[in-house]
Amino acid sequence: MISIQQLTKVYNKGKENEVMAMNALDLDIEAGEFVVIVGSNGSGKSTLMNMILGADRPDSGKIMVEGEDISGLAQHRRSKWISMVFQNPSNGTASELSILENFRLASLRSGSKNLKIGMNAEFREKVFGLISSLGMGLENKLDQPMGSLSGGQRQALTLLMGVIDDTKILLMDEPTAALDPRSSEVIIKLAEKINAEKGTTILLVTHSMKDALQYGNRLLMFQSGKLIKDIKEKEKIALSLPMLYDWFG
Amino acid sequence: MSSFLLSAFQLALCLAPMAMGIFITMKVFNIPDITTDGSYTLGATVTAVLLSQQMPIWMILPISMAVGAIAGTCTGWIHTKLKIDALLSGILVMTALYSVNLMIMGRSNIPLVDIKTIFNFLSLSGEETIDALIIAFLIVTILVFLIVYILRTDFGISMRATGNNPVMTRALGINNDRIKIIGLSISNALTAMSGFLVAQYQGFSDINMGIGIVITGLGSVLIADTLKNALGVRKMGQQILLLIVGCVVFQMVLAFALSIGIDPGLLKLITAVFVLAIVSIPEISKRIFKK
Repeated sequence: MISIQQLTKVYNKGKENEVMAMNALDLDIEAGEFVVIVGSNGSGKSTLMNMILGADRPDSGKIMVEGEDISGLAQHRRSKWISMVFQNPSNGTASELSILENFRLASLRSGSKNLKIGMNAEFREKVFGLISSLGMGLENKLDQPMGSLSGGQRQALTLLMGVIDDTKILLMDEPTAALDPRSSEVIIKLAEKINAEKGTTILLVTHSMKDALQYGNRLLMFQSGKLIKDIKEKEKIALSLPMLYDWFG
Repeated sequence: MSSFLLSAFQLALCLAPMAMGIFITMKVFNIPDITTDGSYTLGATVTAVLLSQQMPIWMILPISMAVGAIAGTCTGWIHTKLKIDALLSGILVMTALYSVNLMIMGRSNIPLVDIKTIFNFLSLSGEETIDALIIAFLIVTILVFLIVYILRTDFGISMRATGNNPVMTRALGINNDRIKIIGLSISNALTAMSGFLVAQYQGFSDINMGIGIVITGLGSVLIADTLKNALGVRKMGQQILLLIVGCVVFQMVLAFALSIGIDPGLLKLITAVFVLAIVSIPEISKRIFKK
């Protein structure tokens, strides 16, 4: 699904504060994998996510999705494969638009945004059903502005928006960092459910070692722009928290 | 209603398209666009020149809107592709348009005497002022329906989302630059439409008629915004209707100022003070309620 070859990114090149954010990364991710990415601050986790999303360009190397080199594509052109759940719940939704309007936009991720009123009864029903599955009671607030919801509610909806059009890759960059423990659990469990039911490939960046251990079927650990551990399904089951902390030093 | 107020009402309707244009740039995209001053005059200039050459009115409207759209496209292109601040981009295009307008007119003023305009080519009620008012009202009504429809379409939602959260829209496959350029071109086409209407309403086009007109449009948008917040209006259609109310209130205030004998030379000052008063209402009311 995703094939990364010799991906390199250096910030502030040639300056005193030069940072090697990604150092010649080679990585292959299969379709349907739920990859959890951990690492200390500045280890390159978010840089990797931003380069896959297209918000940041690599200095060298390639990012291939389904055999197509997307390294040179503008961010908005990558949306047919990739959707993103940002760390800040405000980033993933338009606060002044209604919930329904936000979902309408998400459903057009890879389609054209033309002069058609797409928010018809059929679409409303589809969104109603999708949001009902959250069990948060938000399905009755479809016409309310997104900005009136809590961070956890917005993040849960962002996650659903990300998969409304059967997107192939879901990037989640510390999606629970701004949420309370209960909302965080709802979000991660929802991601797990989406991965299991739809087979969406998920890359989740987290600082929570507990989540890293509990969720996903592959664990990547980064340090100073380098991939230092790549633990796959069977090995991951055998992992324990002390082992993870030990690797972190 | 006195003919003085009827006239002010008609002028308000003529300026309503510009207010809708400013609403699109300022409220939908969060872009302060000063191109307005130039594209308003451009619409009037093109209208006056083509009317003097006996071109049919139904052909002049799309032409004047198209040139306004081109002006907006220039501002959008400079802002998005050359990464120049939106305010400066607008100022640059507005400045350039002054010369363009002079070139088109060939002089600083074109009177439209004894020429059939959009306001007098049909006789509906037998009275010219009422006919003009009915025609202006019909045009604005059609425009309101059109703008509300566009803002409710998938394209309209994309425009509104781009102004609200560009990070999100980029991730959702929207080319923010392109949609901003389209938005600015629609906005300036509407502004040029106001130029088209006002040139015919006042019976001439003048090179200086656009100076400070953005403040008039802005004032109407701000009145509408204040009313929107006070009434808790959320629906797009109601917001656009409030824009028309904003235009009417604004023009009525100016008409009232003139009717009590204020020097017309002070109109721009009154306009600025009135807009300042509207802008400061939230802060002033906050302080009053605190006490």
